[in-house]
Amino acid sequence: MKPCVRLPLLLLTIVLGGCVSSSVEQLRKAPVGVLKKGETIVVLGRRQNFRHQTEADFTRCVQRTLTRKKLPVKAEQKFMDEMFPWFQPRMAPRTAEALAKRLQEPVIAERLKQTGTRYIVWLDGITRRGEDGGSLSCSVGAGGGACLGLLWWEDDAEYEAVIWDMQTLKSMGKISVEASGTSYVPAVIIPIPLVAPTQSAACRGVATQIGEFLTKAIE
Amino acid sequence: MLKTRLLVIASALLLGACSQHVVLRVDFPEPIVSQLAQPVIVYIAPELRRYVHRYEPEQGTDWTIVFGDSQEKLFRSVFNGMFEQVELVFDAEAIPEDATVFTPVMRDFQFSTPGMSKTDYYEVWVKYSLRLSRGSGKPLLDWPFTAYGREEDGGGRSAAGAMREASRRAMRDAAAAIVLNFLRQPAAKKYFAETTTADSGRNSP
Repeated sequence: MKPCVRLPLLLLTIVLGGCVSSSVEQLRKAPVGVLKKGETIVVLGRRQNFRHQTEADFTRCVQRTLTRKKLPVKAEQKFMDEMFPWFQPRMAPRTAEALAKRLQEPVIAERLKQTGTRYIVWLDGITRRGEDGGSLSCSVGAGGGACLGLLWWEDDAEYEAVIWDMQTLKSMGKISVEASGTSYVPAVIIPIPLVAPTQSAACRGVATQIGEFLTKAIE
Repeated sequence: MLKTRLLVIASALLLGACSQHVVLRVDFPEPIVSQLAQPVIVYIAPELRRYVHRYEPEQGTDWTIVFGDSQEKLFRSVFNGMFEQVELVFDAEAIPEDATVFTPVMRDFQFSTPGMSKTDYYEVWVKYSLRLSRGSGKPLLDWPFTAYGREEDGGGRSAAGAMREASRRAMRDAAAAIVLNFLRQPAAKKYFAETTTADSGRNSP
């Protein structure tokens, strides 16, 4: 590809591919939580069998980002096994209040203590497809194929994270994040998808704020 | 010779694409609940141990789902969590007449693939019933319940792998259903209230 074609394409990717705006709000009820040796954090996505289930991708993204911040994150599956069956989709609490009530049950509080689960981050929310439009058509002939047109769509992400301290059985605070992004697929001969990383932006926003709530004790 | 070999490989690939074989090898954690002291027997009938689901449509993919010993593992872990003394019995003749017996029965198994449902999910529904009886007598309670599990398509997982995961989740859901609901059934509640009182009466000095 000639440099005169490559440069505008690169610029287009940078300009259009980064169309995400996000806002984060934090409500803090407790000072920074310090994780001692052997204590862990669990990140749980809201579970419900049919609809309104926080995407597993989003939960995994938050877990990975916290792990990269050197915080001791316990795998969700390990936690589900340790607490079986109280966080299975059929039984998982659906609201923060229900979770608070569940965590206060003696058998559950005792198991949490035994397994070293100090903080639970409860994620709730979803990324929805918003408006879309445009048109794109492709044709194939003997000499090859080509596309022409423009497609676009919007994604709206809205998530909430509540951090629970298992020692005090109280909420440390709440983080709300809203992100919206517009993705484009312009096509002049070749379609170039410029997908807005809406969910990733929301994930980064949530994980950064969780990192401000929790820190590891200096050993 | 090369042609024959290629033909054999191509046929194997084509046949593989038209049939899926899933073997469930699953372990289940014991539920954390307050245990009842009542000793119980769990009767695992041969048909439950040998349960294989076959789906052979006229067009499309054939599916074979082999449950293997996963049923036994499921009920062993559920009842071990719920009761202090649990014995698994595989021969109906070996059930003592005065024992408290649970008999799980698999009534139905259904699934859907993204191709069938036009969604992004592999979904599994399992219909069980759980019988409670005294010895091998008439059931005091025959409680039906349905468990559900699903797994998202994609993520580099094969169709068989996604179906295995959806089935595993459905079986975990079955465990949750028993823990949550079985002892709330009026007949089960009454039975265990009576037998616990009778046992403590027998055990008191």
